[in-house]
Amino acid sequence: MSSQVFSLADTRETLQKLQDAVTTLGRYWLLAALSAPAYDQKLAAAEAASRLIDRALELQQFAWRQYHMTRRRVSWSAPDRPDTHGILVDGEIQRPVLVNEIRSLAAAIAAHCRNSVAGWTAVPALSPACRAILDTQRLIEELHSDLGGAGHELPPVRHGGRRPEAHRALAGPIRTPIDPAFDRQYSSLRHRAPSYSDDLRDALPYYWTLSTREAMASDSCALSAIEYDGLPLEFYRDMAKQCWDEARHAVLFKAFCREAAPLLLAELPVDDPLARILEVFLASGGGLPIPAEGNFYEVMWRADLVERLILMQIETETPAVRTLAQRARGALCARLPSFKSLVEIDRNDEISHARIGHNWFRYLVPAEADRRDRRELTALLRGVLFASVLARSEGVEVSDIIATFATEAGSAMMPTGSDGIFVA
Amino acid sequence: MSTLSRSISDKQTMLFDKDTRTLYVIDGSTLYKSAAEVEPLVASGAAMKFNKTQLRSLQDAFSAIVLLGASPT
Repeated sequence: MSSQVFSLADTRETLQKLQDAVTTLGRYWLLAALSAPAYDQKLAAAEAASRLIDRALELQQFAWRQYHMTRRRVSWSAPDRPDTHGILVDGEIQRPVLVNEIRSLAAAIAAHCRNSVAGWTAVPALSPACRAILDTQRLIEELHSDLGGAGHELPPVRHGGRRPEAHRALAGPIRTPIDPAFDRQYSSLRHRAPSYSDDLRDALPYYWTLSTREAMASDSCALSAIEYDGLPLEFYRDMAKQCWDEARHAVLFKAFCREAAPLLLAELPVDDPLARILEVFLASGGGLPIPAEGNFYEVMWRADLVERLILMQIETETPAVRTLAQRARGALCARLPSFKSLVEIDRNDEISHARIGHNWFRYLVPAEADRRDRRELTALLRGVLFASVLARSEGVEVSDIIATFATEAGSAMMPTGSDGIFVA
Repeated sequence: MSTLSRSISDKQTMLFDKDTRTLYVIDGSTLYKSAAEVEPLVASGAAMKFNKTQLRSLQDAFSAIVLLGASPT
């Protein structure tokens, strides 16, 4: 009967260690998504992050139901913080260090799972815990192919202390890479980025520009999930899910441009500057012009969490749901069924992103009057955040940009069309 | 705290007074906590001050620049 002797406290400790480590590994993968040099790599990293944090949440819910464990808020532990661990140095992610840390932590989690299960398989009373651990081990091994040896011991569970409130625990990378398909060519102060129409000539430049913006949306979610501590695990689950969705959009929109470029080329005069751009893209995979400021990721980097939710999920993605429904009924979707599918899945995802934004905005700012105030403040600060990016790109002070455009004539000084982006 | 204070570039910081909706853009990397601290810097030319109307104009001007698929305004 000795196999029936076990410690429930040890079981809880084992499950908590595992949940904490899987969450940390998920956040490391979000750092990998942020620093990925190409969008297909961003997508793979975001998928890993999302699946890991989903798994951490499943573990948490299981441990709460089965063993009455507290659902703790998420925070970096001192040994794992990327900014004290050589992963995040002077605002830049050190990818080789990050890759090593991911491999090392994944190996440690896999070893922790193996050791726990080895001790518990003969204890029928712990079969639910064994099942949860085996499911986790399988995911870790699927996502990390070369785990090697035993790995280090997982850090001990932290007990006691105050329940942390949501706060920015660290500053993420100030810049993220743009996919090599894109070329920063024109200033947003002199040329307006392409707008959508059902004419492929407009739609294609719009969708390649949108691809980089989707990557920025992915980055913004990853950034919030790695910077902010003190939120429930569901927040990190939602940010990782959206990070994955947006990275997928970035890849799919770029792929759509490649697929539709020959159709547009067949319609354009040979000497059309856009034709030359498409030929270069089809031949080399690069050269698609985007704003010199990139995708304005730095706007989000300088915004706080509430401002990010307002700027992206609430003010931009919520209205996009209706716009995309109209687009799905348009002529280009009728002409290209694969494009219609893309628009429909985009709209499907935007609905969930709007819900995510509103849910966490209400969580962070519970009073309706305060939410109204935050939206008004964020609207006023939006221009300032954009000015900070434009100033760096233009090589001037932020105050110069604000002083120039914060006038009645400011709007009239902005470009009204994208003419001139496509130069021979 | 009725102010927001943060870095907006390598060379400048901002202080936003939420009560008066006034923005101060300040040379240097020091983060200030109150408008009273910054007003003397405006007088000396080391900071610039923008009121709500100016910020609305800036917001309108940059509404042409979109973050994702569409402009919020």
